Amino acid sequence: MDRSDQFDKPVKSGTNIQDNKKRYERLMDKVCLVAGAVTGILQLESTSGFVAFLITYLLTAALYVLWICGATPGQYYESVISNILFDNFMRELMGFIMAWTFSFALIG
Amino acid sequence: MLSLLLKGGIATAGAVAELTLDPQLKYWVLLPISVVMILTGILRQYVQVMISPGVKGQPRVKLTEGQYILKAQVLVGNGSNITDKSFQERKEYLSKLLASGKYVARTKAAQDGSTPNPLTDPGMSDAMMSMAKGNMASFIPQTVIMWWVNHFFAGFVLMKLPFPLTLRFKEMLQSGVMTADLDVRWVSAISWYFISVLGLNPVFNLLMNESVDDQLGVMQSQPAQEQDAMAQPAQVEATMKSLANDITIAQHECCFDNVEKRVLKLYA
Repeated sequence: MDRSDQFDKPVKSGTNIQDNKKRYERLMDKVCLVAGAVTGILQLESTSGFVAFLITYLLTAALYVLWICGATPGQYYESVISNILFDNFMRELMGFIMAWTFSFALIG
Repeated sequence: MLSLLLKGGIATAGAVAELTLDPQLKYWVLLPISVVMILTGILRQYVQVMISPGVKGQPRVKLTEGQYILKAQVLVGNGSNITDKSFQERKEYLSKLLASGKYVARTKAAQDGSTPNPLTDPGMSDAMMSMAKGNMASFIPQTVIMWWVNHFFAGFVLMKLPFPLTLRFKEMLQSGVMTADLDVRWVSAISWYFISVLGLNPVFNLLMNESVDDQLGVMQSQPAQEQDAMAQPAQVEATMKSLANDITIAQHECCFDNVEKRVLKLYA
């Protein structure tokens, strides 16, 4: 029976995982840009702005995992923690800062 | 217009200077820079698609060679999906074939025994040319926009950043503003340029999803092809020999062994 261990593991399709990553990235892009614009419109400054980003980022990730992945993200991604939490972090932070700065300057 | 732009005044002096900026700055500096950067990014994307080299044909012997290497790799990787008998047959056939080097593509130059110079090889220089063009397409617009911002929008404070920065950023972000003790949060147009350069990736992703995907696909498939085209017959022969060895020593486990037990366990 030991020999058959490798056949018990589910096989993941690389193309679909790539597609899932792209889908998550697109969702995060939208959410973070909108959140940045909202933060700027609310005229939040320094720490509270970054806290707003963290809350948005983590909440979106949690909702994505619970709702869209049906609480089993391991089915759709190779390494869940890195793909969901860390891969896009800097990119989304920069997008957020840009939208935040832009709307902050435009409204203020 | 410039006199209009320069109308930023200091409202209160002191430790925390609060500036009152002309609202026209937003419409004549902030928005134009943003629009130009987004449009340039889109243009760059299309230019890169246009100057990317098309799909190149390959001689049939090369394709045959590649297909047989692929076949061997696939057999090693997915061999567990076929029965023991079929695996043994394929193993015997492929290891013999690859070891004999029957399908190694031999060009005329290689038959002479001389190794072709990679610098004069047309495939290689084409690849280098397209890489250089891609780099140019990305850094020329950057340089031009930076020059444009520095030239036309220098010498005044444009906006207030919503977060504090350390003093080290002062020289970079307040270039052209001759005040020694102005808070670093008040920045000039070039810093909006920097923020946009760093933060526009998500915007481009949302604006041009399909084309970016296509390009990624092209980029992923190209290096493999070029490598195949550049490989020398001697290297290919070595690859085939080592693959033949791999196949000869490959352990085979069929997924149909004990499949009944596993299915029963699944529904037990």
